[in-house]
Amino acid sequence: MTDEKKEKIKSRKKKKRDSIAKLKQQMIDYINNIKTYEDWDKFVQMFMLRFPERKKKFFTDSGIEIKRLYIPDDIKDIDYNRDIGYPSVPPFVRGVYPTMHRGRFWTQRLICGTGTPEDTNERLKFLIDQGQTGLNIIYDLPSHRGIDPDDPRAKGEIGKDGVNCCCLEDMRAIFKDIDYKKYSVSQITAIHVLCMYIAMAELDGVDISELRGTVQSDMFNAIQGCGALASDVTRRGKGAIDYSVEICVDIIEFCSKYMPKWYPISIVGRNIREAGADAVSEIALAFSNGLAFVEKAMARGLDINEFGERLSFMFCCENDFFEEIAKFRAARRVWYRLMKEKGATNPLAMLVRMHVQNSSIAYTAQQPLNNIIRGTLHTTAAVLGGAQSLHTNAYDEAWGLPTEKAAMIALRTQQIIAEESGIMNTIDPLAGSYYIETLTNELAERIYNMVKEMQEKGGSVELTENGWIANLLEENAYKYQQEIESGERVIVGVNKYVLEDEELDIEIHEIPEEVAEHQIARVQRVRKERDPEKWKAAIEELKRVCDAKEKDPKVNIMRALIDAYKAGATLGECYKTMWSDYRFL
Amino acid sequence: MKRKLKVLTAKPGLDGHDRGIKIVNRVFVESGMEVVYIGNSTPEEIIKASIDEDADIIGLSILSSSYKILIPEFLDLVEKNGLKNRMLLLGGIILPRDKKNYLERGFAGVYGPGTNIKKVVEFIHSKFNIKESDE
Repeated sequence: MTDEKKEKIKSRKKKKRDSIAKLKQQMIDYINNIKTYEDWDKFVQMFMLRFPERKKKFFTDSGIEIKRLYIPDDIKDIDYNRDIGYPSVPPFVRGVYPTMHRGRFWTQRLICGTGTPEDTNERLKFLIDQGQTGLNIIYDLPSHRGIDPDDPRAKGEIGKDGVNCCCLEDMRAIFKDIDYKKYSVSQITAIHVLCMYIAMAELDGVDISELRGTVQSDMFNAIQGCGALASDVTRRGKGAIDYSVEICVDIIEFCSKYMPKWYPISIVGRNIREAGADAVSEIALAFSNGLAFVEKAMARGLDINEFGERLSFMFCCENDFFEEIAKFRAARRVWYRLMKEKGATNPLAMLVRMHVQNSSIAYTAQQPLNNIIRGTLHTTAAVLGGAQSLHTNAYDEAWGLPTEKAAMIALRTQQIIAEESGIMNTIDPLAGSYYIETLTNELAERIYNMVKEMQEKGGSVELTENGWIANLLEENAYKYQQEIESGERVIVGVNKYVLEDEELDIEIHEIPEEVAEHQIARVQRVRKERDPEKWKAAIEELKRVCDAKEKDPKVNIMRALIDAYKAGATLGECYKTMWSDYRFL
Repeated sequence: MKRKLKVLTAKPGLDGHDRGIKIVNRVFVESGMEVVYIGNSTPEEIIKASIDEDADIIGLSILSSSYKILIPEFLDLVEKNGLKNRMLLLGGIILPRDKKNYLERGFAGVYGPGTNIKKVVEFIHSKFNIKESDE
């Protein structure tokens, strides 16, 4: 190469360097002078010519479009006292208690229910030993559906998806050697189990006004969340759902009078979410269902300012981290508004005290240990959202009831967040975030509008009966599946980062078939050993009360049901008496 | 016109988790099949409905471990009633060893969570020699 050529190349390179340096200087000058969003946006548009974003548009899980950046302008219309408020002060966005998790951690309660009452008793004691602070018991399908273990319909189901419990003796076995009055006890079922629990306490000489806990009892979540159950109820004809609401009001009324520390209902969005709802419809459906109970309770002459204090809620925590946090915050604002519209004036009667169970839909059967990470994210979001009580799913959720090891890791997840992360050392730490507050506003508006839309269309009873809710959930679930199959929604291990020929390498908790034999033998023995006269009188009284209730919904069946269980009646017998097939047909 | 493939779908036992089966039903219908969904049913009821409906395919969905009792019972009834010529499909939470066993005993496919439903449709089409253009 000649010297001349070398010089030429050198000078060309220098020119290029100079021009890049000049451009860079221009950029630096520009950046240094960015003062407005518009200036910044111009810069971003140029930048994106070379480095485009991952997607054209970004959306939250419920379909709210997410902007590239949130700035002070986005929240300039917020009036702190009107829209956010202090903790324990309307509209409660920052939380329901004055000190929140600085005062005490949320109640750590893992769902527990497996096999026989004795098996469950053992697991409960294990969880208590591991530091769990509340109890949370789930019952199997026959117990949920009012079926005794020796009924042919219970075949194969006994103790599989929860503990089997069909009589007072079962309930006693679940709590054997556990000082249950010391714990807040959540019962994932309804009136029957509650009445068995009360019967046990009364016979133990426990003052039931001291009992703390929650009974789920919101039957809407079961009907809307499980179409199969819906057919169970709707087959009874029009009026069956209305009657179910009245039974829930019986619980509310009874607890208001005799069990002031008990939450007689947990208004559930969580299972509806799992059936297909998104962040908006989860809360809107739960609130619309909640209003059905409120209206019926008021119609019975109960004071909204009293029973309102004893309403509790249960929500889901799904994958979209910030949307879920904003959802919890928005929910508190919207329920306050709805209760105010119903005439409540006592702030304590307008609170959303919430238990959160994270999403099971989000958990994968593939690479199951990844679920521990999902559980951690969900639990963190629920804590940041101000939950009062939490269940974290165990990593083997997609395969069956948890092993002891999996349950312990789920509990440890909560304990690590509580004891190590420090995220709850100040109340509602994300308040004031341009994004979180914008999302909170947007979600609150959408939830409120949807509740209003449902009220205009006839309310929850009507919309459950006519299939409007089922259609909505099915449509959403279908869309979700399409997004997974198209790859638009990434699920690690399922449609991305898949392990070919993955082998299941975790231990699975299996329920032995002897559980069924054990439970069948017990229920048959109980029937044989009870005092037939007392039993007959108690069942007849229950029937009389239920017949009276059919004519006058204000008649409360709680006491008759408690007494029936005390007299040795079984779940199947009481259920049949309450729902005798002629009713509503 | 060719007769549509007829699928009878059901949820054996009491398990109410029907999000999955409802999506499957819809995808099947959209793929040109006729679906009769009977919800929660006993194995006997499923067999009876399959005969009454003359279903080409029987699709079961179950997320409860009660499947360990209900599916073998169903398979016994399939044999007893001479329904082995029907295509049997099962979806839900089925442990690997049971899956293997059920495939040997006559199920054409056993699917777990995370299954791509389009692939199930492709499988059905391939077994019944249906080309996309036939739809």
